[in-house]
Amino acid sequence: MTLARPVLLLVLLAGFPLIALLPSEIGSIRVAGLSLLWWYGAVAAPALAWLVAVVLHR
Amino acid sequence: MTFAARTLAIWLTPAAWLALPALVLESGPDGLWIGLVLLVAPLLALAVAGSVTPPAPSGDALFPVLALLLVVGILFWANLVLAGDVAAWLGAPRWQGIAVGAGGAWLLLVWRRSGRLVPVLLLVAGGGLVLPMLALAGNAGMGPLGAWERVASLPAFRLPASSPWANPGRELRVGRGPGTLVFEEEHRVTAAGPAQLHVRAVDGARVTESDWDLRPGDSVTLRPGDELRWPPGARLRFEVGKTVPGAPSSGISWADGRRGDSSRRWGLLITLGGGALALLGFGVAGRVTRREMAITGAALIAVFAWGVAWAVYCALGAPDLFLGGVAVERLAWPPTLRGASGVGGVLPLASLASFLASSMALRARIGALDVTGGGEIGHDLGLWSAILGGAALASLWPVEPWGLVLAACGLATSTLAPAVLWPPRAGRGPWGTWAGLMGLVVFGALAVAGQWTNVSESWAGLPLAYPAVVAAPAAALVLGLARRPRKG
Repeated sequence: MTLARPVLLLVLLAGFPLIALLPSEIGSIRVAGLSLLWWYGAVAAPALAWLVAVVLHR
Repeated sequence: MTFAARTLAIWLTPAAWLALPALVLESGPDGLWIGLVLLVAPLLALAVAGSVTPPAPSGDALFPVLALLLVVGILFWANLVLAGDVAAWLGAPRWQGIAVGAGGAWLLLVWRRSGRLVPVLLLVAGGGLVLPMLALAGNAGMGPLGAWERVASLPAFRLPASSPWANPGRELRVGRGPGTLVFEEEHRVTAAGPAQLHVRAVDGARVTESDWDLRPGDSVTLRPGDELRWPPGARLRFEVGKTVPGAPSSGISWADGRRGDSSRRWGLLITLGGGALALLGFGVAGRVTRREMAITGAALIAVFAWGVAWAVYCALGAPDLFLGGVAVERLAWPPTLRGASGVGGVLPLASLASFLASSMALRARIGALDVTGGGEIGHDLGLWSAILGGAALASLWPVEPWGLVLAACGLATSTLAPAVLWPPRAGRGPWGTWAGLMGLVVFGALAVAGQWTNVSESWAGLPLAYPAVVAAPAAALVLGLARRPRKG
């Protein structure tokens, strides 16, 4: 089994609760109107998941 | 039927995609993460299924078909419950919504070549998602980012004058049990019809319980901390401009959320990930091309983005959706859209189109496992009439559709997913059945125990809340025994 894609997708999912757990409420910092946590969960992680699923597809 | 359309129709039934904005609205970042899992799970399943060695033909196809029939039956049940709830929310009897959904799926069952309609129905559903979204965005006068920023800065979620609970007043949730509301500020509640209310007032250490028998127009004033209970059927009016009971204390607290417990996250990840693996990967032999993967991923992201944006616009334009807790059917037609002529009823129609597409795709999915019968089981009129009829009858009893989606995914995870990851070797096919049976028994026992026990939100309560976390490893253990080399 080639593990790269599944592992990367799981890492992307794990990133969200990890950002939420960062000290000093870093996930709540607003950047361009949206908090870092929401940037990651609503924009960055879906886009990266798509890239991982497509680019690493064999 | 294209690969993307089939994948979307199998995985994202209306009870799943409409739950996405409901979860985001209810739990903020926690709901967003669940939505992310809903998006990533099929990609993960396709990645895993494409990486493992296809199982050797076992000749023992009965158990997977039966297990998948059970899973599909529960998914039908979830979606017909939702159809009933949406009908009740729109003011019609629950049975009418159930009859429309089940009747439509049955008619497509009779028409054998209906499978070609799946992409068309999904396009109709997609259009039905976009149009009301544009209407809500137009009402708000800003894009999703601006709307999120506005919601996340709200000092409180207040009842708008346009709310049906402000004027003329209505039931909180039709067809459900007694309701309970806890008030955070002084609030006058008026009966829109005869109503018997029970108020539990807490004043320091003193607790006072009182019953009120109200006639139409009579009011009762509740203070911060008071708890209001009423029997089903009571129609109430709430005060415009007061904080919505059941809503987060502010937009900031909604956007930041509470720190979700990690046991729940594990349970959801295993349940949804395994469910996608079983529904999309079990017994699928063909290779997925990069283009198919790209289109499927893009479509999943589009639905995810719609769900998040829909939740944000609803929180901004219809904060009364929070009243007494977020109910998924309210998101099918938010009160703010009631005045928007032409687009208000589009989302319920999109849900119907999506359900019809899903019903065909799920039947075809089971037909694909019927190696000896040439897929005939996917068109068996008697079998599918019984499944649809059973699901329709069960839907008359209101339960939470999202809970049923999780139950279906949990069952699929426990019975079929382990065999995708660790397929039995050639000549040991029956071990796959034994593993599935083990998963089924453990899942069933824990699910039943979970219904009779007060499940705590902790690691100890995880197997009862998400039985697949124990049932799937139990099934995998049986498969592991089957993979040991024979002695001698």
